[in-house]
Amino acid sequence: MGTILFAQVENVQVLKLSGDVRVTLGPTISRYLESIGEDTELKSIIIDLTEAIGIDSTSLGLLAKISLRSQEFLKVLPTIVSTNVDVTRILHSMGFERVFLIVEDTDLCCEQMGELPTSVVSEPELREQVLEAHRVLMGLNKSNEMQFKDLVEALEKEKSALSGQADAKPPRYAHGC
Amino acid sequence: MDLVERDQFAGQRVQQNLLPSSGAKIGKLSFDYRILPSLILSGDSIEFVELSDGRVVFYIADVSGHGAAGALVSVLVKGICAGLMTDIEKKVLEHPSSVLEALNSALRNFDIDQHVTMFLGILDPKNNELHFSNAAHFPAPILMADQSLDYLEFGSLPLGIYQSPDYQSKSLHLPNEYTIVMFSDGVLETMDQPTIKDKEERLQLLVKSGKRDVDSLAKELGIDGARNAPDDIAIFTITSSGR
Repeated sequence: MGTILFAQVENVQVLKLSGDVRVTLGPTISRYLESIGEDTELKSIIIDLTEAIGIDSTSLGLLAKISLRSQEFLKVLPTIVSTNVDVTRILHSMGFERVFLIVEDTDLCCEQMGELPTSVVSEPELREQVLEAHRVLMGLNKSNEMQFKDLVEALEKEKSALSGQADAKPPRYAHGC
Repeated sequence: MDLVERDQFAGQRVQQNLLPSSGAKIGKLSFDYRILPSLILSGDSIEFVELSDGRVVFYIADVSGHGAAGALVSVLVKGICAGLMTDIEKKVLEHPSSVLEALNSALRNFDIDQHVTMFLGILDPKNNELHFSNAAHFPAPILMADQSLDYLEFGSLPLGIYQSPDYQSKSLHLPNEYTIVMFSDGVLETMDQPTIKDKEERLQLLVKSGKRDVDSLAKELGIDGARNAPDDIAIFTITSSGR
């Protein structure tokens, strides 16, 4: 039986689909799909399939629609993180490399996501972006959580020391069916 | 048997009658298939149609999900394709990729939740040319010719979702004798190998070892008896006996 976890960190939404992702999760994914476009601040969507062991055609169809809505409302391709070779093979069989940014290596993902547009933002903004990116990465898998926990805590401390208030929001999690 | 079940079996008879006959021959080509629904009705389907100029259009298609909803969409696909045959015949739709694009547009006109994967080929027995295009059908069809085995096209986007899926056509010159073996992805779920790649290799090995007819394939894969599988299964072979 599959599960869905949802996290929102600032303007990035992470949908984590674990286990055997089957038609039973469909209504939950559908509801999420409908919600894309409601949050006008939303910048990008990451779908984490690192703990998925299988995914059926109905769920693939819904992911394809998430890509369409992301392109329509956010003007960007969503990212899929997939480290299970079987799942990745299925994603490629559906031509998803054309409608998603598929990241097959979470180390690579960390590097890519670390490279935020440093030249165009102020230092506080940059700190916030780095923090946000690492909070998202922490949510992606357990090893990331361990890897970035200290860094994120340090950044959050530094940030609240600078701004004089602890306004770092923890990620919100909601369980799917 | 309850009322709903009787109704489903009536639907199954219609679905079976809409399919071409397995074992049919068109010139030197033999067409064989087996479709095993996971329940009673199937979202998997196959088609082969001879055009007046001798070319043969064929496909294997898998509607997402299964059961009655999948079966209804498979009938819609068949109907749309039947309507496109005249344009294929007149070469208004000359390449398989154009046929898939026309089918994609037609499906998008309907407000259905399903998408469809399809491998579509146009065979010209006169000059042994095969033209084909894939819309996300998986696993990729296998071509066995001159003792060597190849996968035909893998990947690309499914039908019914995207506005411009931009399909690609490929062409191959075939020898006089060859076999094309197509499966739907339901077959993978019945196999014991640990990874999908291993399963694809197993299918490849079976075909290479001479199991190229539907009956032997079904037997080897253990899907020739009664079953209650999670997904529909289709096996479709086209064999050219030369001459």
